[in-house]
Amino acid sequence: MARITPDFRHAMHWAHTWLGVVLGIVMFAVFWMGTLTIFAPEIDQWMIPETRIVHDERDVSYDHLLAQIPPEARASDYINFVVPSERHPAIGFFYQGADDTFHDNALDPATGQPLEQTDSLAGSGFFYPFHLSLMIEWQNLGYWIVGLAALAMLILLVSGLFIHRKIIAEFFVFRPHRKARRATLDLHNLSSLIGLPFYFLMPFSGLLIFAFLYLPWGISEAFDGDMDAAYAEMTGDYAVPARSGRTAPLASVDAMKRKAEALWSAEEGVPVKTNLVRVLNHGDANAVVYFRNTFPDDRVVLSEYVAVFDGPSGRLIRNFSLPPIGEASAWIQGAHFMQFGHWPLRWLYFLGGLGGCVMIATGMLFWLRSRESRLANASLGYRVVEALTIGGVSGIILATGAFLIANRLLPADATMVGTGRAGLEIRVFWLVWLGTYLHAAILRERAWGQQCWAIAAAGVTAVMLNAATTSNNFLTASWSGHRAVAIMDIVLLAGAGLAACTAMRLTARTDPLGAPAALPAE
Amino acid sequence: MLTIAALLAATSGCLLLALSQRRHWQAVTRTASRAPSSVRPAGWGMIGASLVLVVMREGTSFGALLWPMLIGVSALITVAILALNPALLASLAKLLADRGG
Repeated sequence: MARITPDFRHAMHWAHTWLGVVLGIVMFAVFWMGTLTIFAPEIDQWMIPETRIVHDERDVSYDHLLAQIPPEARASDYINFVVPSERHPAIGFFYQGADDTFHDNALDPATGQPLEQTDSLAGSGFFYPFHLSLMIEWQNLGYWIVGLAALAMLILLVSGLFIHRKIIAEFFVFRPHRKARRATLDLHNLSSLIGLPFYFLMPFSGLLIFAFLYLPWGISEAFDGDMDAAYAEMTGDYAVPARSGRTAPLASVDAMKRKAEALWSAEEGVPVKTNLVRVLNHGDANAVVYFRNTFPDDRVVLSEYVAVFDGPSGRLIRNFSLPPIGEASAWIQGAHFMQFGHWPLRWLYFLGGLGGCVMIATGMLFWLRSRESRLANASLGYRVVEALTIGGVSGIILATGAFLIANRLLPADATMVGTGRAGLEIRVFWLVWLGTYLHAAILRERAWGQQCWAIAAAGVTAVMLNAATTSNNFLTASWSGHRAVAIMDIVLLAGAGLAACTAMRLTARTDPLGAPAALPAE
Repeated sequence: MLTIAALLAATSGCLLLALSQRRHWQAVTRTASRAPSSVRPAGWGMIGASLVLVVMREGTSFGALLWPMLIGVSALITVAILALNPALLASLAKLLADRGG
């Protein structure tokens, strides 16, 4: 067996250190936002109170809905309904307007009427895209940065295993009362090892989901460079013909939906429901109706079935189910998307996500702790990493709190320099995040404690504002069936408590002369 | 119930594996003795049992996701006890010592 030579260990150490320093903040941001994304539908309900609807298993008639949507939507080439569920109790409704703009609405499942929604991107529109692209859309740059961070994370996990000298002997060791540097390393090792399979799975599956972007060549080669054909083969997409110009009435969408679900259920052996109802070229002779079970509730795999019907005749023209190799890939993707109805596992993912945040934060802190005696007062590089670490860890958490507070405080018609309400919430996030970096650059070590106090205050403020501005507070929400709101409030309060405890420990240990403070994550 | 049983099995497995290590055994018992040699295989046995319980309850598809997370939580509980109050495990260690001769 090949031995691990000191040279090899040294090389691994070098890679671990510098990849961590350079990409640690990106990894923390992605992990933090990814952790929040686990509960994105619940966050949506909290931030868009009009969608706090108690779900019941009523049958929605899509024939009815199509008859009552606005004429502009009915004339659209692309109408999309998202079937309501416990976690998404409103009917999602998107359509492409005549000027190609996308309209995103939610419909009341009881009446089919549009809900007057708070203008906010909330969890699904902000936290979720942030964790996969950092909201940097230019040339897909954000996706590439996140992909690089995911790859770096895999390298960091492997290199970390090589440089940890006593994995077995110190597997269960945590010495919180030892010196801050030692305790930081213990916590880094501990948080890394206990969540290791999860930390491997998340960046790996994330990279796999975007393989068509990061490594398209292998895929396109098999399809003579035609990525659309490859995509159709993988996902069951159907090439929709253009409008013919001849009008034709649409057959019953509800009947087609029943037929699709019956087909899938027969194939799977258990009831399979559709999540998406999509009508293309509505009113035209070339109309097509498309159904998909994107997120099965009782299985890990993602998007196994697609059924496409000819609109005017209601005839099935494509019935797609994943081939076995697709199942393997869909399992890995489903494990990342985590849309199945398994609440214990969802909470374990949440804990795993927070564990990942602790791992990344303590890794960056250890870099600082190892160098503070030598570099703290002399090196500009040290001060930059210090400010980036503080802003990147406590700063992004505080900015998230500010985002929630802005959501509850901004008036419904708020606009500023051409930015609407939803955009302003995001501006608040970015401004507060930027502010935390400046704060950290000026106050250095003391910024940790102050930012933790601010996080605690933000958490409590958000809960109070929810109680003041909506009809649910965390005490009444669970009584009235709004479990998502109650849990969100409780998690905010728990987070505030944790931040306050951390702040107290930091403040108690900070030397008045500005000597190093204790760990924020202890 | 099976999930709770799996968590209990995994946690006792982690506790036994930790106690099979000299450092933790001595911290818990406050002696210079060593854990009986049967402690470690018993720990692995409990870890294995937790896997069986998870797969019985959840199947392999969900089990493959759930079980590593349960082990992580169990390891965290074990580390917390050892770091904050190792004396909590004194009676377990005594039982193991008596049984293991």
